[in-house]
Amino acid sequence: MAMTEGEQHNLEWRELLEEWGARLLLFARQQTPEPAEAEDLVQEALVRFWKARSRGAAFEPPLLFTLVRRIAIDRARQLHRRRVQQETLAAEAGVNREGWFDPPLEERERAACLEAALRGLPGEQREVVVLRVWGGLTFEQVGETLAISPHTAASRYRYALGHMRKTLNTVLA
Amino acid sequence: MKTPWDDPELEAELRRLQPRRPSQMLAARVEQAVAAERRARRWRSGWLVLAAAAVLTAVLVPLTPGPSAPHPAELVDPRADGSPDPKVATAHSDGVRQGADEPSHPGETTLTRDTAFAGYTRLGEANYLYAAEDDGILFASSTTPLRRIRYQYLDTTDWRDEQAQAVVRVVVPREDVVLVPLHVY
Repeated sequence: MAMTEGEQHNLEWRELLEEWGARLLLFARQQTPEPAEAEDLVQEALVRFWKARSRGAAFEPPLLFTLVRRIAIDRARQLHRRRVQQETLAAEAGVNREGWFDPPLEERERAACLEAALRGLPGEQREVVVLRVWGGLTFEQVGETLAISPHTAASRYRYALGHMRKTLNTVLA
Repeated sequence: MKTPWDDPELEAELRRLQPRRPSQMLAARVEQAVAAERRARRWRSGWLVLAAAAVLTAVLVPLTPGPSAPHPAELVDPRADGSPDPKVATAHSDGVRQGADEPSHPGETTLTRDTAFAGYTRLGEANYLYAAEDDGILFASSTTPLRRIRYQYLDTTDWRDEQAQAVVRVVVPREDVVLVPLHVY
């Protein structure tokens, strides 16, 4: 039975979300600590991506990450205000933060150490690590996404790994 | 050669970590947002085409006046003496049909959709179906699932301005939502 246009469209979206949803969400979490806000960023990025694609833009993963970042910048003031409120409330209530990863049970302890080391990085280094490791981008693409040179991207990445290794060694010592 | 900053073991370990998946709600929200955007785009493009057609018609028709076009006086006021018709005047000022339900008298005209209206003659109507969208299956309170189909029309009416010899097209968008019961065997 032939699919209607709407059904075909929904199938495309499910495939796109299946493949890129988690990675985009992780990147969005670098822009805002609030999970619901991060999902909003991903939603808006995907809708803008759809508009760009319907105008003939080719599918390129860096574009999705770039859109998430641009939207986050557009909303920066609003996000910052909310972030301060949420962090204050969370600190007062002693609420645990929602994890960025979904590791199997036997790897949870190690994953928690890795996540803590990642969270301990400066934001600009963390973004590079996320785009490089989970986004699968080259340093050139990372540079385009973050509006920095590929050399700067590579440099931040190496500093980030160095910091993480140091943190992990301290924790495990 | 391995530099002090290279750490392939750490990289490999990080790559093994699976980012947390988005909630199911996100998928539904994205689909809804895209569907809404798609509808809005069709709506806008439909309007654009018809507006262009209306403008083109209004420009081209005065250049080729029809030979059989009746004089406005004949249409607006059928009475031979040409005295003002209060019903026509009322309809013109209010922009709606009025007085159509009053009893008519010999020699007096009643405005209907098919007659002249303050210098405009209705030329014709058309309904254009330009989109039919399957919104999917709904599970209402009854046991029978329903398929919701959204039809989008543009209802057009063409009027001739007898004085300017121009054709004006009035376009009204309309959306019908139809629920079709699905029989499950």
